[in-house]
Amino acid sequence: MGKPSDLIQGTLDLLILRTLAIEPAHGWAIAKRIQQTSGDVLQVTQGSLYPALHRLEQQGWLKARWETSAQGRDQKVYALTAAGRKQMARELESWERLSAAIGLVVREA
Amino acid sequence: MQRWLDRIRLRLRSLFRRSTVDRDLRRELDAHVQASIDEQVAAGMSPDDARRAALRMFGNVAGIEDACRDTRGVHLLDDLVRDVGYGIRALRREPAFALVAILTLALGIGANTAIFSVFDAVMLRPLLVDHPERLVLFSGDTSTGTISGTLPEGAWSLFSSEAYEALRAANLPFQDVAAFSSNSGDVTVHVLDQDGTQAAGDANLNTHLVSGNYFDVMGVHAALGRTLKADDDRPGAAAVAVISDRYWHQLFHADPDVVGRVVRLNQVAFTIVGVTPAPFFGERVAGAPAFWVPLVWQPDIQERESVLTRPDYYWLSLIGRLGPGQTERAAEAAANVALRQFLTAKAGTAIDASTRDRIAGVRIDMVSGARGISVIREQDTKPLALLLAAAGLVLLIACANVATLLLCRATTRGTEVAVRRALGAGRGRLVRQWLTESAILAFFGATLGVLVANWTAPFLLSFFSGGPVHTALNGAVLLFSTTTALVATLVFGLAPALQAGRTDALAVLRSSGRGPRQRRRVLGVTEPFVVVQLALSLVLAIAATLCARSLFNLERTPYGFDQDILLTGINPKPGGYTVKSVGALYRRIYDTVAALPGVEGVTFARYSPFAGNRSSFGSSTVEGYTPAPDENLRLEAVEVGPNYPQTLGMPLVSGRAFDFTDTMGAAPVAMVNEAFAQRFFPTSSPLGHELRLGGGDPRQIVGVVSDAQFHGARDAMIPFVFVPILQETGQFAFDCEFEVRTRGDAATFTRTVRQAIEGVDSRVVVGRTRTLRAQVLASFGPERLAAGFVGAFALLALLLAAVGLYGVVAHGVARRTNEIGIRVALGASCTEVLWLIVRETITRLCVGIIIGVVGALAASQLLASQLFGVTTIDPLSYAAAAVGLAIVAVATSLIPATRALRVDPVTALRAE
Repeated sequence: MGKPSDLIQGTLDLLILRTLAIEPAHGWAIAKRIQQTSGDVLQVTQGSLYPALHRLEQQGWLKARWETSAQGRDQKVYALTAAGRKQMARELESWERLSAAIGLVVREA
Repeated sequence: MQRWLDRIRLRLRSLFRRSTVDRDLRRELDAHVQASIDEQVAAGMSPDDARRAALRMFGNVAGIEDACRDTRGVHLLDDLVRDVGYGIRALRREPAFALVAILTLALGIGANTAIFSVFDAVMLRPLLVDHPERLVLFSGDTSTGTISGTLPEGAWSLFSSEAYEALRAANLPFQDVAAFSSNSGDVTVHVLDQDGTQAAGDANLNTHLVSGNYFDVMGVHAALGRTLKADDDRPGAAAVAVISDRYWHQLFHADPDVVGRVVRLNQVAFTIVGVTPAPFFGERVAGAPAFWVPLVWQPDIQERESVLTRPDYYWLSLIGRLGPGQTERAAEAAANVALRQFLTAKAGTAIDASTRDRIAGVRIDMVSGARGISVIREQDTKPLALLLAAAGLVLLIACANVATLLLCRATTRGTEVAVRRALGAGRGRLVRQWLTESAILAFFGATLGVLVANWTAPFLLSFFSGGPVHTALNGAVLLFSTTTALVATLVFGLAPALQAGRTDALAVLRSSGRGPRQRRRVLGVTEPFVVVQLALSLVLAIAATLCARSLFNLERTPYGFDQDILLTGINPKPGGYTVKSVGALYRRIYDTVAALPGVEGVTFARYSPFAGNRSSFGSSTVEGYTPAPDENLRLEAVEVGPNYPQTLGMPLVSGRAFDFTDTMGAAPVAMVNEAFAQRFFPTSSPLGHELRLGGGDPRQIVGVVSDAQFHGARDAMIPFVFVPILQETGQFAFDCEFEVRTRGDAATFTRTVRQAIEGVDSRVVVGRTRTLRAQVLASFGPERLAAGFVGAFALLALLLAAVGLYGVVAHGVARRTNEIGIRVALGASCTEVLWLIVRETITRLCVGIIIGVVGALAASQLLASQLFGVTTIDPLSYAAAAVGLAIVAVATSLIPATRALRVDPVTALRAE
């Protein structure tokens, strides 16, 4: 459960964007938050999280900066850009359409 | 917008600050692990256990790093950089292979680049002047000469002075129109010192008569001083000249104070007013002039009566510079109207119907002047295209050669490739890496090739043009060689690359790269390349043989005259002779030279066979011959002296030759050739009948001489007339060349004859001396050139093919050591072992010869117009070339084959 392949294609991006829409966070915190919010159903592994973060950063949806944590550790903190916010809205809309459609099919059957 | 800037910034950062980016990635991942550990420790786990658990959970760090790197989208470039580095290291490990491959490619690419830069210089390059694209020539005709007499028909190439003035005055869409003498000749040049004494000796240099606005129209600015001005070209103007950069160096050693110095051209002292820039060679590609002088000096430069105001003398070529936004087509239409208007106005009111028709038919066909006039372009297109084709073949052979080398190398690198595949390198990735290595070879090959070409091209070009046409590494040439190198990379690199991509990792690793299956496949792939090399070199060898045979024929064909004759041109004018008195001079020289020991006969003439001169007379008549209604009978004639047929070895068929009594006062006479007699007097003797040349006095035919080719090997025998030069009343009387028939090698008489002539009158200038044989040979320049180059390319091709074949055979022998060992152990004889190896070569040879002969049959069509006395399908040439190739091929494969003989069966078997 929670393997990347189990996540519907593209949903990881949406999860990351949605998480960061609340507040900027570093990689570990993003993974943790997704896990907690989903009630431990969704576990994002590092192997899919970091490539996704880097890809989103390359796309210009995210912006990253280095910050020092309370423990004195360097952390790369990601934040949503304006373009990222729009992208999130788009992905959210398509996700809602998709899940509604799936819901219909599943209930009808 | 901001987003795109960010994206670009990130890409650039990934590209150029790779180590920083990688370090950041590592830090980020570390931070993650640390965060996990912190969490576990907080939950009560021991730090060590926490770390282990975190790392276990994290998984393959390197894999994640790679995945992150891939998202940056620069891995293609990254890979390329790595491949280049790897490729260079791999090549350095095998310097011999790299050297052979690079040299082979350098030969192929260099040959092509050199030929192309010549091609570029004479065919493609625009003149180095301001806006060359706005220059328009009033005729595409590249030949030189003059026309006199009646109105030229059809498309005009030459214009009279008044026609030029009329066109210039007409409101044409040109900024201006310039004129230049089509026939620019050599003049005697004396460089004078500041005090007026002669500083440097006389030289015969090309001097070009141009209108005062010539340089303005051409768009050329003086490098030093000034160019000519319109005022310089008025009667009574001071004598001024512009000197070319080349002769400024040659005659004045690039003296910066050359402006104001004086040169005597023929008899007139000209003051130098300027030097042209080095890249400017005039409007003609080849035969660059040393001096440009205004048209008004025509009588002094050409040493003849003035034609400046003659309405019936057509001697000027025109070039115009279009006004901004004007087109060639509009200019042509306007010029045609203007010319016809001028001619109609000139004909006046008494114009008759036929003149009106003639004028209506007159036209100007303009062509772009951007690239100047190039006779080379016209004459040498064929040979150059031929050379380009031959160079292309050499490149193909070079590519096939390198491909074979790479394929053979692929077998020794089989294990390496297999390991790479086993480690997860994709097929595309391997192909890319191998192509990169090929590209590296091509890059070095091309660099070396371009250097070689840059060095040889000027030398090559000197064969094609008399003048200092510049070859330079320009964009076009570099683009050409880059394209060539890239295409070559694909041609020679693709097969080995695909081969590497196909490698079956398991099979290779299991048999440590030496399995029999592997061997057969690699040899199978190299086979077509070897055969192609053999076939292509056969094509070149056949072409070379055909050219050589043709040249042999050209040189051995009797053209109807003897060639052991010494030719010495003289200029009697400095001696102060007149048309009337010059005959006596000729007589004295004749007597003196004829008395020299070893001289068998002497005569003189205006020009000799194969000299490139031609004079023909329109509106000629022959007694008893009625021309067709619209026929303008044109007869060729040459002015000759006494004793002509005997000296030249053109036997007199009937009648008599000229002697010293056929002078101005005597009855006008002529000799004709047999072709003339056959055409005009098929059933009777022409002796005693009269002919007129171009409306001149009637001449009685007194002799018939045998036919001789006057203009070149390929010209048909045409009716030809000889008239006594001693009866010449015009300037032609001064054009005299002594023709001396000698016992033994004519060239050895050069000094004796020159001294004898100078002894008669030291004021007479003795010109160039050469033998008729040399003159005939010189006329085969293009053929000789083509034969030389094709021959050189064929040798190069044979050499490359031999190297390629040797490589493959040697490789085959090395791989079959075991098999040979077993055969020897089982009692195979030397001959059997040799046969085993040579048999393969013979098979390749047979296929190669079949393909090569078919290719040559097709390719030799290119040669057709170059060949003389031999057809493009000459079986003897084909057979000779094939035998030559077979000998080279078998000899080449015997070297590794004999190595097979030395295989010690015991060692061979133990190695297994």
